[in-house]
Amino acid sequence: MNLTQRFIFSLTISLEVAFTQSIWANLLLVFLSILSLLWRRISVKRLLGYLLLAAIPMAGTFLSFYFYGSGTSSQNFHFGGVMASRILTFVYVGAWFSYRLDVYELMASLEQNLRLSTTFVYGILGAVSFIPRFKQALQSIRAAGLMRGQSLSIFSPTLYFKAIIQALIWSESLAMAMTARGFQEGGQRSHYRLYPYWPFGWLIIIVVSLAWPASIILFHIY
Amino acid sequence: MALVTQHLTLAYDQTVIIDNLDFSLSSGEFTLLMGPSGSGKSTFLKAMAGLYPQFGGQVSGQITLDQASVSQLPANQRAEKVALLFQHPDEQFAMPTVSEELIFALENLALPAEEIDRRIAWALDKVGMTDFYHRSFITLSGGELQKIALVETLALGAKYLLLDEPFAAVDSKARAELQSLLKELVQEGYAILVSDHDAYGYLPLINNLYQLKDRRLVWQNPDQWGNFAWQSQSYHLSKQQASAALFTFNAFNLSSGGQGLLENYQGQLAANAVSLITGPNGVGKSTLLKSLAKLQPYQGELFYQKHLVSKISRKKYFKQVALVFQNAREQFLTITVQEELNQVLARSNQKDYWTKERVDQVLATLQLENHRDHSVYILSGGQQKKLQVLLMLIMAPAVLLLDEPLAGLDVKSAQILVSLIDSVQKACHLSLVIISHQVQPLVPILDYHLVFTPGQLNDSQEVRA
Repeated sequence: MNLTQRFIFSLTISLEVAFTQSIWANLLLVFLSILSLLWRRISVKRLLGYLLLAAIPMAGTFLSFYFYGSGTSSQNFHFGGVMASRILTFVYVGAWFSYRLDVYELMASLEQNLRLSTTFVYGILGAVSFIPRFKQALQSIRAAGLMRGQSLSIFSPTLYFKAIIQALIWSESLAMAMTARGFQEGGQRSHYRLYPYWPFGWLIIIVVSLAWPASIILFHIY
Repeated sequence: MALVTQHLTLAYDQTVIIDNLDFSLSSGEFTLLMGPSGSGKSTFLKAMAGLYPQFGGQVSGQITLDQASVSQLPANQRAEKVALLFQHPDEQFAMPTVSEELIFALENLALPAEEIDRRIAWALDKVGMTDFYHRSFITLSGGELQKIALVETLALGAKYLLLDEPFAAVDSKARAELQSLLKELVQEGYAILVSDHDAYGYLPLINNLYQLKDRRLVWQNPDQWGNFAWQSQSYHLSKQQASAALFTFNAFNLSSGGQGLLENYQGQLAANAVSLITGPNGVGKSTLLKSLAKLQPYQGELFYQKHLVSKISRKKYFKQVALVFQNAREQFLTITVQEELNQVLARSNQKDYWTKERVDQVLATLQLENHRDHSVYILSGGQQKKLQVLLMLIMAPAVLLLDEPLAGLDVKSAQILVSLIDSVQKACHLSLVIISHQVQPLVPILDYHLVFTPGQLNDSQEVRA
């Protein structure tokens, strides 16, 4: 599956999860996501990390629906279970989508497959490539403050003023550099690397996103 | 076939920079543009590259390339003809790696993949940078960044190359290499316009020399070109009695981007003295200075006056040791020149020395007195540099580490700034560690010289300017 398909697939599944109320069906998705992640050689430590991430919101959601729900206690138990398993599903489907995701490849794939505006695509990519420099900049702004006898805490407006100035300068110079290197808004561009759709991927997307809700309805899996 | 201006008037932030200019640059011409800091060289080159009025700046009159208006050409057609190399080498790339950047630029021209590969291989080979194809930009030095920018413009196919202070952070060896490369390009029919504050190395190569002065471009007769060159000379530093150690290195190892820069170094830097560190591009001079400023990790031991630097808190350390950043803008904290001055005057370690009269007088000699109410961010590169150094001299911590304090300054401004540095250093007993590619103006104030070669740092009594 190419990244655009992966993106569409996770989006569709997440939407369906939001409109169905089956604990077992949710857990099935979690299981499939884990299986696929293991196939892509994710470390067990990382898999358990996602579980830890989901644990607190899951417990909180379950308990609040169970104790403060408006139905009978068995209805509340079921509804709390649905909500908690939904969170788990979102976390693992999200992990399936984002594990080893290359932002450059994703944006290039969206640009080619979905005709996303190149200005948007390269704006995002430019911003992403600034992230490591931004961390460095924050550190040197704080050092520059101390060297001039002014301690800049993380609540200091000066720190953010400087950071914003830096961002403005970078965005202006980025725009100028891109223009000087031939980037024209709306202009015709070629693609050095191609990210074609994987036809079999569509089959998987269609089958799973139809079969999954259909089986809930047909077999009354709750 | 020429890049031509007719009746060009150019203004930036309500200041007229060029008034009614007729100028042309033709194929096979190598033109050098000189002028003092802040005279508008960068603005002029950006306008010639068609970036104004799109990115600010007011333009009236015409800038044409083969009869077509440069600023009205779509960017992807313009880039095949005119290219600009920017002054700050680290701000001219949109992508994080060399390969991604070159591919991005050539995709803009809608070229097929095979043609992209062919052009990249050709341009990298031409500039001798083939080994850098897979490198990421944060691991490259200033000179290497400029070479990649040149590779990119050649790959795009531009025949008119505009270079804005391309050698501000480049050592003399790389400078000579790049200059002869530019000459080769001129002989192949490229047209080159380069702005520089320093004529060193250009005079045997160029066809024209213009000076930007009083909003006019003045053509200089070749028999007067000698006035623009600094004489190359070798100086001998009088050996003094070794003064007390300021920094002591013990089994010191430094690396950057996985590349070893300094190995198992034992040595020291002197207190109450002016030390200069020189060396080729990318050897690790800035990284070394950052490690002294606690802004760069290292292995081994570094002592500041017998105390382990790693054990001193940043807050305490930065009261004693401060870095004058290579990029002046990183030093600023407030908005206007006056606010910056007030900030440092209130916190100076030498309040008795920096009286109001002295500050006024220094501002006048640095030609900054008319800019008190201006934002520091709209000052020219050279003005920012002068202000930045002044601010840190007013702070006057015991140790100042200066990373290229003369970058982008013309001869006269550099001399004025150096004599200011000298008088403050003597009066306030500061210790200075300086990195500079411009050595000549610094020679009279130097006590020690260290030569940084790959993996090594050695004392030297000779300074070649």
